[in-house]
Amino acid sequence: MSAPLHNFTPDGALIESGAGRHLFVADGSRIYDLDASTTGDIDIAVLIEAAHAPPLPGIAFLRRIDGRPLPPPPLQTLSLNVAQSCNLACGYCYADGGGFGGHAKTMSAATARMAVDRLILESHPGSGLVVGFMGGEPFLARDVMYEAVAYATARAGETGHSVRFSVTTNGTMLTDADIVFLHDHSFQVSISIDGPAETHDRARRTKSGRGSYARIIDALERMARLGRPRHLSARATVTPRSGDVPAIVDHLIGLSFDSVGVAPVLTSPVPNDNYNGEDFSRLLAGMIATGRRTAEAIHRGQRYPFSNFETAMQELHRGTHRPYPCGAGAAYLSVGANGDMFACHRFIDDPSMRMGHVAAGLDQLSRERHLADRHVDRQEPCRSCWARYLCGGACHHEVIRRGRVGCDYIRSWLSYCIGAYAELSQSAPGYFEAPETYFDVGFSNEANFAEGELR
Amino acid sequence: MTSADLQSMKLFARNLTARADRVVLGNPVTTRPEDAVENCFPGLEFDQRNFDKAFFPGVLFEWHHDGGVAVRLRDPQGAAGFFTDDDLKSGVFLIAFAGRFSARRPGPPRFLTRFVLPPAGLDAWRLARDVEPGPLSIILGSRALFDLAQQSEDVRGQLDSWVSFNAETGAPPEATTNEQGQFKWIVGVGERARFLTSEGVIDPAHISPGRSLEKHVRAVAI
Repeated sequence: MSAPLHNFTPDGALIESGAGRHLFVADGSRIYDLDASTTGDIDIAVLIEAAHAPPLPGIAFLRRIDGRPLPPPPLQTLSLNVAQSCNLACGYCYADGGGFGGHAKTMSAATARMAVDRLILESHPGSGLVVGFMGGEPFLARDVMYEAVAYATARAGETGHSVRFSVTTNGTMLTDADIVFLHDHSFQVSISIDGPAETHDRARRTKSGRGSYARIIDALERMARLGRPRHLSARATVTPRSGDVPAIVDHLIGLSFDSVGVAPVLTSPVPNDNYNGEDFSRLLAGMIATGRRTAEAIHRGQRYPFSNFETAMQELHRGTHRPYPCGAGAAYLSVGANGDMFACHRFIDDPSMRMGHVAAGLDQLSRERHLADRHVDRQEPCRSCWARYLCGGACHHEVIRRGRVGCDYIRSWLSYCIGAYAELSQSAPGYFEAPETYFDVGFSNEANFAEGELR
Repeated sequence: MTSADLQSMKLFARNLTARADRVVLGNPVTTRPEDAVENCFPGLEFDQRNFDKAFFPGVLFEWHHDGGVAVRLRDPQGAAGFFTDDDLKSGVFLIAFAGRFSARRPGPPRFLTRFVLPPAGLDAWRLARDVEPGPLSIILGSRALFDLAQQSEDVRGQLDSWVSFNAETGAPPEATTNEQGQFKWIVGVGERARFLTSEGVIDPAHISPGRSLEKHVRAVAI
């Protein structure tokens, strides 16, 4: 299945929707509607030329992204891999069961404190900071987490920074004290859960082979009783064997997560878990069906928090354009258990992506090289892709390990999203003008959760 | 494909970057629809930057005109009487001006000559904006001289000496024409027009509410 893409050049694409025909201009991720008289046999290159015309005679047209790499910015976010080990043994795990190909390790409290100090030292004065906890399973080293949060809160107070916390967890080890801790420190919590019990337990088992779904449900019920974190999201990792995406998302939204996101596996050590060829077509069909369900709900003024779609809508409205897929190696770094810093949490213990040590400082040359090498305008075949500033060139880890195998899927998904944005921005403009107040329940799904509607 | 053809294409901005890409013609190039101050009813624009179009008495400049700063209006009673409206149609450009500029480091303002280099626009406005009240000398010239000044350092050196001399001595305006009597260039001397008080607010002694900038230009003859 493919979205109705009619024409494209490296600088843009013509896209059709229920609201008419649209011109997407890569420069600035600008979206224009075309009127009927413009939709004849006109060449997209002519339209792009019009969109690139200088605003006044004698004023040069300047591209918003001009190919120059970003100089390494101050740090803003640091994730701490406090436990390079896991109690689960998911076959598709990029971290090889949390150990990243090595022995299980746990970060010391001293290293965690040094990491916080490094983040503050390398950040912009007075800026807002984020400390994330990753793994492995971070709650295998909960004492280090607790220590790091207390230390970061105190240090940020001394230095005039604000600090927020996030954690990605499998949700199977949360004690009552952990739940209160996450609530009290306004954590943004992402729980890895792959769908209904059967789907989830097929992929996410303990090392003894038992499923982990029931433990997550238990944790969610205790969260409803003891207090929810600031934001609670579900991250569903899907493989070609996962089944129907709409059913997965529908089930997870029924569990009252504030948002539900879907991530396809591309770099699994188990070959059958990786998406290939026709698998992408089925994935795309499922994503579009779920997107349509979300759009219909928005149109009715109801929340259906499928985050892949909602994020795309808001970014398209803003015209987000980026030369990189994420902040890895830029304002975001990840710290391994021994204090080494890497471009992101997926590259822990990968020497080619090492970017310093929390004690010795940042390796600026390595960051500069990374940002120069990974600029989307220097990637092939990205340089000639109209969607490159929406996609940013795709996850560095997946591209380096597997190559760009999902480009057609990404382009088709984005084409659908651009059309959906054009329709929604006409039928529900309030969703874009004031998204935080558009729904009666706001952007939190807490109201449903508090009523115990664990559907 | 002509610019008229391009303009006839009806592209309607939908998302925020597309909307912000539209420049409001007639206002400074930095003006965007979301800038509140420039979005007054047409004719009532109260953008202080517009005052600087008349930073030299008797002449109204257009900051954006084919890569240079062109004279849009002139006061025929003043020094600008040395060139005609036909000359304006052919293009009369601001080539350089000499005046007192605030020093970046502590110290009194310095007397400097500044050349207008394309693309002019905002950069040229910033130069004019920085001229302190006091004597001001300008060189206006034809498109040919404007182009020559961009290309030749020797020409700029010669023009610099003339504009500096006139500014320092207060020598009367002189215009030069070619053999066919067409305008080539003129050095004008005057006082940097004042619109604001020392506190940076509109000075009612110089600006009358409701009076257009063009009328203001005509009222301040050299």
